[in-house]
Amino acid sequence: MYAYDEYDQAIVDQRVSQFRDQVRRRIAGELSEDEFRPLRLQNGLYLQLHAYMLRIAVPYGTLSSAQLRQLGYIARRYDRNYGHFTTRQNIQFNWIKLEETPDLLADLARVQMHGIQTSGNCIRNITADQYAGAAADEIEDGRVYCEIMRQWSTFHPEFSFLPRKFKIALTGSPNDRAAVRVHDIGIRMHRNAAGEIGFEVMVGGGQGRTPMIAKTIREFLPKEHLLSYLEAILRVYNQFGRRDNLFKARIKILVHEIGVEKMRAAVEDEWQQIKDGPLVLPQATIDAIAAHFAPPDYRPQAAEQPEVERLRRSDGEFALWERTNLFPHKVPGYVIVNASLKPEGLAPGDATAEQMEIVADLADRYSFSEVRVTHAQNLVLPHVAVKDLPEVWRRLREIGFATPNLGLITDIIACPGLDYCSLANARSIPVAQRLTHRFSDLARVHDIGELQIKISGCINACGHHHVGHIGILGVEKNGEEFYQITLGGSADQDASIGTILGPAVSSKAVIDAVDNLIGTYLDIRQGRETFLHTVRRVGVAPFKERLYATA
Amino acid sequence: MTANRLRDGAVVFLKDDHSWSENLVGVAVANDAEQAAALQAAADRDVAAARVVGAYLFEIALENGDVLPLRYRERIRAFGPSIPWDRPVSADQLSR
Repeated sequence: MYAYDEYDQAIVDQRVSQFRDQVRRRIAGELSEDEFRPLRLQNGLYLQLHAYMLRIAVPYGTLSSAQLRQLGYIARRYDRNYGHFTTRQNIQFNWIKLEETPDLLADLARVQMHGIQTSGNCIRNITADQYAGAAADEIEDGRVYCEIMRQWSTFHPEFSFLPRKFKIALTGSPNDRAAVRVHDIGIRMHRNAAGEIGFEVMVGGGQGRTPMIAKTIREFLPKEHLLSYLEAILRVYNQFGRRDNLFKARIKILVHEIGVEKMRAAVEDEWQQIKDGPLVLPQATIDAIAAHFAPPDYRPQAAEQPEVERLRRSDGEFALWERTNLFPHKVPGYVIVNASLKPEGLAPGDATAEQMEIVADLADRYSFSEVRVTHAQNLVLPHVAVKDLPEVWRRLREIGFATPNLGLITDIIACPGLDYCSLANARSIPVAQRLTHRFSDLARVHDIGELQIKISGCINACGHHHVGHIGILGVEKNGEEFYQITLGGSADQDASIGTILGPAVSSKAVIDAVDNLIGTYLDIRQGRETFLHTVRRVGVAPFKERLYATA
Repeated sequence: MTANRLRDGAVVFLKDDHSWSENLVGVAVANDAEQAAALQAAADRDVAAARVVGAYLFEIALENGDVLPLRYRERIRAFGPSIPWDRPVSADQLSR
């Protein structure tokens, strides 16, 4: 994976010392909160309900074992012994003290990490397919281009004060695991008719109060033009994006208001002026970055693995886990292992210091010291030899990370909600917990099959409810928590925004409501049809009818 | 009247003697606009003095003399998250 050069390290170290002085001045009363707030936010430090919260960037979801171990240390030293992996492949610590933050950032800088680009109206930390560089179905390791974009975007002087925040996601696989169609810019690598690999560029997707699916403005962009084309989009947005209304300031509103044709033409005009300038990416530059992502030293593996075979036959739990929590690797004899951070009854995406350290140890021993964070709030060991599966499974099971539920009804995405977040209107985590109790029977969970529930505690949609197969949005009505349910959303290559089912249901009724929807699905599904396919085939009416008939 | 303490972000409540407490026991209560303005003025002085940030008044009920925030949000601020949130470090971990 990418290792900092002297410039990267100098920038981050300098940031830490600047912030140390800013914190000193703030505590001494030399800076007001109005003066200090933008400074702390530029380092990922928010003030939430109970304490300061630090959001730390995990660029394109890739962590080294040393970094994950350091996050464990930070959880123990500066927090209450746990952290929360987010839907943007980042990690948040909930109980941070302002006066300790400079030391914390210095500890992070030691492992090439920071909170830069996790807040503010800049280009945010770039997200990617968590299986990049490992997945059997990928065209190319997209992290190379994510890293190039990271270097271009960090402290980009022209784009540090955009009308609003700006999120870019990239997938190098035709099966989109990075939700690129709900980002300000989504990038999909693919081959053109001539067999060359390049990018489809989509613009104007997003969630929040005005969910939109991104529109394609360029079918095929050669690799060398990636940065100049992005710069052209950002320039058009920076010039024409609305600054008069916070709720209309994202690029999706601009694209919606002027239309995709005008947007494409404006970007094209700008691009023609800069396209052959200094932003052209020479192959040598791409190769130099790609060298950081060179494949690890895979070993030839025996085709037969008798011990794994035996365990598969003798232990149903292992067999179930193998079926759901693994993903095919591009190298024979290896698999991608998902550690499910969705055990029954706990907060989705939370990990304690000890759990982080054990996953880091497993990565060192069995996955070439690499870990990934997923936008679905799980962790990944990307390169595990099949022969090591029994041991990896046992260790993950010991720390509660081996629930065989990946992509199933209890693999729930949930934002921190009103339990932590100052923007939230209702709680998210307790709804997720109650759902995992209701659907604790694994046989039933597997019978229901592929199903994504996504829960947000407010309309900002950090919990991705708009693109949940079942989306749950917390609202406050007369001081009580209610939940609005949407059906049929999807974040993959066939992205869609969910349809609101009807009036919000009470907190007490929301678990029964989900159960009711599942009942309808099980009754009307055809063959092996998934929940999403059933909703797409019949629409929301049958679900709505039955839900509100009993409500 | 509540705020977050500047140094560590802890939730604090203003008491009658204008000190800040981490719990609701014995906090100052405003019964009318005039009293509310007095609490706001006291809190604003501590905001200006960089002791606390984001001070604001919130609605409460008095139940058997105990202060109970009306809104759910304020209850969570006062009593902590509604889910287990304190995961103490074990002695074994501390020794590492």
